[in-house]
Amino acid sequence: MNKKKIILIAFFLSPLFFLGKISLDLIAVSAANTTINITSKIAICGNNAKEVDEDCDGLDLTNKNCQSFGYRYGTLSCSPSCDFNLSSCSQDEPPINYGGNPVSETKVFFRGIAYPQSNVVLMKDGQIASKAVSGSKGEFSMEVSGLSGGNYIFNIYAIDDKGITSSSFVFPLKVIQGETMTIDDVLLAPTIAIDKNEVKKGDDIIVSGQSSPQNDVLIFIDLVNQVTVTSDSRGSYSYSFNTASLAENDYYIRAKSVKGESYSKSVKFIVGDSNVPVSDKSLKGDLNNDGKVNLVDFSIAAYWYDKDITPSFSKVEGQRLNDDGRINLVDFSIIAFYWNG
Amino acid sequence: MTKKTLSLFLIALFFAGPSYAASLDLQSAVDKVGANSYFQVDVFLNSEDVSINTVQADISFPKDMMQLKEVRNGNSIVSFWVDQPKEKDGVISLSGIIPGGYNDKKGLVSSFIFESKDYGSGVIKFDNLEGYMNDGSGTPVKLGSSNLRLEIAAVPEEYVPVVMEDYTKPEEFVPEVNRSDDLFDGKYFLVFSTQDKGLGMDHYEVCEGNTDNCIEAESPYLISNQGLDGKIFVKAIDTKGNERIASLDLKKDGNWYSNWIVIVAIILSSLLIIYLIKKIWTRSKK
Repeated sequence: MNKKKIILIAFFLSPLFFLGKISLDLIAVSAANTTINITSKIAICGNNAKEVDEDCDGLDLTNKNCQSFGYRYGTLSCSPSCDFNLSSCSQDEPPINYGGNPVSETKVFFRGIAYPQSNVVLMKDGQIASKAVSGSKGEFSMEVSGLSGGNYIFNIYAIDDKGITSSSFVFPLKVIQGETMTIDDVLLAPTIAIDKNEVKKGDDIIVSGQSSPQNDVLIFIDLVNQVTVTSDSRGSYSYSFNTASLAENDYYIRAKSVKGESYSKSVKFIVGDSNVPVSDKSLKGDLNNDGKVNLVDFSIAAYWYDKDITPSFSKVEGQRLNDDGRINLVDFSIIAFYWNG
Repeated sequence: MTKKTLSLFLIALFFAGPSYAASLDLQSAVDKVGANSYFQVDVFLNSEDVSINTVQADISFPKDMMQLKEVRNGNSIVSFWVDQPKEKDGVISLSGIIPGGYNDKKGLVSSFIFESKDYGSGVIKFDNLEGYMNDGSGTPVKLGSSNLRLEIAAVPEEYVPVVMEDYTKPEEFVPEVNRSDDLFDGKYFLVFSTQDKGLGMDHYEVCEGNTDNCIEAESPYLISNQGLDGKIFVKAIDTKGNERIASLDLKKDGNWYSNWIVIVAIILSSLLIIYLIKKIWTRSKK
């Protein structure tokens, strides 16, 4: 067989490999149909999740910002066709104008300090409005545009280098139509985590988290014990606390920056007769187990509100809510606390 | 009948009793109103030093003296309603959440537009108050309340209500398709929510396929088109009829092999290619 024919045959055979790929994909989809989550198999432009062949999707900007494209200021967004929209990126600093001269567009800028290279999320009335990656000192700048005049509740939180979410900085704001407002000096509370859910009396419990770099962090253990630690150049802090002085009981730990007012989330541990490491990292309020607590989880809870729940959902309620076998306002409060959009 | 002008005196009463850190308060900007006139009553949350993320209240009013004409949720601190404020037999029930919590003195929860009817005396008051802390455990908060006492008496001046116009569309929003074993037997559903910064949201409509095929709907909405091979539109419509439409193109970027025509075409062309290869092979043997 000559060379020409081999090339010809190879050319004609290539679609068969393609066909084989289809078959495998179809088998994979068929298998996936029997699993819980098939949503990931469907590429949707507009579902806030970047998928194959998309630069971005809605609010999923793949951790990119205007700086990633060489601009100094502004907010990167995603076009309806899932391409990056750089129209709001600029080399010019946005005006500082809290309630000042009216400009044509209604915008709010937020500037502050989170943790070095952390993901910072801005929510508007409970829905994600913008994402940014902070700088090496934790500094961030975010913008929300296209607003109407009226009352808004903005929440800003950050996710540290271990994936732990900070408490939210909550800012109710009356936005004036046609004005640009800037909220400066937002200082996000440190993140906090512990290494044990239960610690044997007399043993150590390690408290750690992330803050801005070289920052004094106050750690409050219950109401009595308070220690100060300094974060390193990455903003990380850690403290080993000996529980010899504590009676066997439940305790709550939280932290705050010496410079700030906001407290971290509270984490609970037990002083008892054994050491139990932190194992269950499932997110409270995350009813569909997608790592997010948002409108979907609220909707699932609302569906079961004041109804008899099924045995399978009872397990979810037990793990992710208050484990009283029904959906009531306490559960909605838990969802609202862990809400991350 | 001689036309009488009536006056409605609205006096906030801070009921004596135990003092609470946080409270729900009923307030009105007017203290006089004529008969058959409109007046507005606002519900505010004063959280004092506690961050509150969930509230519930029943608000009762004397039906013989007034009629509820409109509920206004625009600019509410409540982002998501568990129970939208609705009236039944002179009682307005509401409950909702504030993600991240609210910790301030005067957060507007909801507003009610009433029409005064006739002489009388009574109180617009709270019942079944519930509040929960933003602490991750849903710790209950004792909520105090201030109610509104009202009297109707004849006065010379007539209150002319300010009818608020609203040309503001509801806020932009992104509906989301999802599925869960714990909802609608694992079928695909749609969730959506937005706010209106004017007078408030009225309702939503979901249109599957095109905007001529819309039905009034609530979130979560069970999608009829479980094949997810078309467009879905969600209309958010406020109390004055201003609407915002959000769309999801489920077909775009969908799996190409979900289209059976493509599959059949590929199979046929592959058979043709196999035939051609076989023919070439046979000739080369000769």
